[in-house]
Amino acid sequence: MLKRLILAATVAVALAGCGTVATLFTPPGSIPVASTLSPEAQAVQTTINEGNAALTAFNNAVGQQKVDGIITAAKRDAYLDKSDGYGELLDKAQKALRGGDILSAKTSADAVKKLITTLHREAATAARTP
Amino acid sequence: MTDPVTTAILSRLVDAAFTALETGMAREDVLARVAELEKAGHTPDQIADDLATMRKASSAEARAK
Repeated sequence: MLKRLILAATVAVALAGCGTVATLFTPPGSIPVASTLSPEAQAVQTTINEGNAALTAFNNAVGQQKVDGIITAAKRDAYLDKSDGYGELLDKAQKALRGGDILSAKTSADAVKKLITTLHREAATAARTP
Repeated sequence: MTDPVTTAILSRLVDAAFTALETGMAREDVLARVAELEKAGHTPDQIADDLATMRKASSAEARAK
């Protein structure tokens, strides 16, 4: 029994440490962007798209964790509040990009990308903390 | 024999693994949906909007669980 638990835990640490964060924004280019955009704008659009995909995945996972009893409803709502806030920033970045303000869009999208990565790490750490 | 503290720690580690797996699988679901939309003729601009819509819907659905 103990051996099985240790094996499961080892796999768990490997997956939790490497899998989630590494795949949050990869592989780039798996979501199409308009080829009519400049290369800089395409890069920003990719970041926005990947951000929206990552937040969607996060929201779905957080909802499932509540169902599985891993987190409380209050914790779920706190995570979703953060996620919604980051999503609004992505919406603003999208609006700026479509308005031609690539620099502003890039700054916002890059910042949100880091925040989302931190949010995922926070959720994984919370799940590990007794 | 496993003491309760060890069991609790290991249980948390397994929870963390499922957290990672769930997020990874959820992301795959999103990408699969994007592929469907692309196949259905959605332009990249429309897909960008679709992703934002999916994000908002997923938040509302998660809150309802």
